Formats: sequence, C-alpha cells, structure tokens
Amino acid sequence: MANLLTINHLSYSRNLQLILKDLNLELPYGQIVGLLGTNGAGKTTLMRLIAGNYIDRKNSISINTETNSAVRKSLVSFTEQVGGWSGHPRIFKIGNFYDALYEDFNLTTFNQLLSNLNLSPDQRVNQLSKGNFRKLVIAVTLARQTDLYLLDEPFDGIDSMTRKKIISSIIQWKPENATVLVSDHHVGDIANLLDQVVIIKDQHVAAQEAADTIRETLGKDIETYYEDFYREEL
Amino acid sequence: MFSFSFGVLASLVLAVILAVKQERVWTAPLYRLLPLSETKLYIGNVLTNFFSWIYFEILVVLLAFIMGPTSFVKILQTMNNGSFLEYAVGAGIILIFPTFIWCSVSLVHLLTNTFSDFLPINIQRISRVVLIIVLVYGLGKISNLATNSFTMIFASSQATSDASFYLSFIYLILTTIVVSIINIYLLKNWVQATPKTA
Repeated sequence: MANLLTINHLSYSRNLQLILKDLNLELPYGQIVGLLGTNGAGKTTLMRLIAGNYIDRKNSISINTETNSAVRKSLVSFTEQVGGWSGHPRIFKIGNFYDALYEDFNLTTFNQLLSNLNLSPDQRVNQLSKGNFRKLVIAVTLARQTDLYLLDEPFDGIDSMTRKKIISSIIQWKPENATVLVSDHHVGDIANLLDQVVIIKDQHVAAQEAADTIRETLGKDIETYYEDFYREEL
Repeated sequence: MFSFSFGVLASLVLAVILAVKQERVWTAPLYRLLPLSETKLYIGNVLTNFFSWIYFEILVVLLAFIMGPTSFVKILQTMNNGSFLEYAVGAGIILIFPTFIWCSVSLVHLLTNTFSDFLPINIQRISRVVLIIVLVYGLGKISNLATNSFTMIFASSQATSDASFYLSFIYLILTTIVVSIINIYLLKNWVQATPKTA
C-alpha cells in the first residue's frame, strides 16, 4: 500500500526566516506518530503546511497522492480548525456547524466524545476553562472520519486524568486505517501511544524510527531517544 | 423622514460590520481549512455579504413604509420623472456599491498580508501601517487613471448623460469583477491563515 502522507523536499520560510529546509517525510496508513522537537523547531508549521493553513507553493506535500489543497483539506482533521466562532455559541451549536460544513463529521461520535470527556452540549464556549476548551478541540477533531489527524499539543493545559481519557479516545475513535500525527512537549505522556516517532531538528526530519525498534533494538525509551538528539545542548 | 435617516445610519453600521466579517474569513483557520477551493470560499463569502445587504435594505424600506406611509409615498412621488430602467440601475448601484467597497478593502488587506510575509517579524506593525497607506494611495491613483480612461472613451462616443449613468453602473460591476479576480489569485497563492498563536 502506498504511503498516506508523502513530503518531498519541502522548504518553507516566512518573514525572512527559514523554518523548514529540504524536509522529507513519509507516513504509512494506520499509525500513531509522535512529532517531536524543541520549541520553534517547526512542528506546528509543518502541521499547518500539511493541513493547508500555510501554502505549499511547490506541491511538495501529497496525501493519498493528492497535492490539490482543497482535496487535501478534506483528508485532514487538524486541531487548528476549531475556534474563531463569532459570539459565544453553545457546544451543540458548534457540533451542528461542523456537521453542516464537513461531510465526514459524525455528530453521534461528537456527542459520545463530549460525554466521555465530561462536556455538556449546553455549555457555552466562553464558559469553558482552558483544559475544557482543549477537550472540545479534541472532540471536534476526532469526530471527523478522515485519513489523517493532526493533533498539535492536544494535552496543553490538561490534567493527567483527562489526558488518559483523551489518549483512550484517540485509540477508540481513530478509524483503523487513519494515521494520527501528534506533537507534544511532554514526550513521556504520549510515549506508550506511539507506533513511531519523527524528530524535527535543524529545519528538517533528523530521525524517523519505529517505537518498537527504539525500545527493543536500541534498548532505549522514547524520551531518552529523543533527548539524545539534544544531548549537546543539555 | 426620520425612518429614512435611521435607515441610512443603520446601513452604514451594517456595511462596516459586514466588511469586518468578510476580512476575518480570509485569514481565520476556521474558514481557510474548509475543504473548498479559494475561488468558492471567496465567492461564497462575498455573496453572503451581498445577500445580507439586500435583505437588510429590503427591511429598511419596509420599515420606512410602516413607520411613515405618507412621507414614504411623498418621497416616491418626488422621484416620479425617471424611467423604470433608470430606477432599476439606480437600485443596482446602491446594492452593488457596498460589494465594490468590500472587495476593494479586501484587496488592500490581502496585499498587505502578502507583502508582510516578506518583511521581518519585528517591524510588522509599522510596516503594515506604511503598506496600507502606500497601497491605498497607489490603488487610488490606479482607480483614478482607469476612471479617467473610461470617461475619455465614453466622451469620444458622444453619448448622452443617460448613457453616462448606465456606463457608470457597468464600470462598477467590471471593477468589482477585476478586483475579485486579483483577490482570488492572492488567496490561492499568497495569503495564508493567521492562527492566533502565530
């Protein structure tokens, strides 16, 4: 089977600053992949480029062999697609909004995710705490039935119990063939979830390795493997 | 008369609100991540504003009639010496002019956004202000030149003042289309979403 995501020689700069340089990456179907790197390494920028928030002018990115931006957007569910509503809508209205706009949005799944994450459909967005808002973001993102999920720091501001709930939601609600690309600063929190890791350093992919290989062949845990790339800087 | 004045004021406020809403769509990830081509997003957004405007203007006219039927009829009587076509074109200008303004505002916004991406992040604020001033001045000059050329072509055809009125309507539509084509090109190739955290 061909790869779900293929990136060839992607370079990206903005405001006279080179953020990604000659980046290559291939992701297969049905994996949970950790995107690791320090602050400012370019993880979020890479996700924005994959999702279509930023413009890939050279068509370096293809999902399911599709380089067309509008088609790519239909194949990606990105946490940044949530937010920016006018007013302070109730959560059920937000569900209706996405249900009307995305063919692959499943309202039943959304409501079940809300229930799992202890969110009430009648709550207003402005009444949510930072952690509860992150839960809403996760619910909206996972309620789409698509090929690629991009979760940019999904556990930011979330307590450990909820973190576990979100992790089990990801495993439970991810379609079997779908791939999840998840970035997080706290590597240890997501280590058990991952099938492979991608490390971004010096504006490109410094390493891409299966989690099993790291643990069994290299004899390291994922956190140590990741930190080894920054050993000189520690 | 009061209801007419109120209608004009309310229309101005609505025009500003709709302009702000339209501009938000071009850079908000919520809208830019929708699985649509930029052309569909642009046309959808502009038409939403256009129909909101028409809807509001119909309400204003109805309200003016309900609040003062006598003065409403009087005003209609004062405009009794034109043809149906003249009134239709006049109404068309009133309805399309805001769309022309919104599209022009979008052009300045999208151009500013495009150029800003090539400037250092630490001078963004000042450079944006300078860019807006330069762009408004430059686009004003271009618009003047186009209007003068159009008037000269029209003058050489020795048309009547009625024709001038109709041609200005066509000019408004053509300019809106040209500005929209440039806007769509910028959206497709240069203008990127601006996430809150960026």
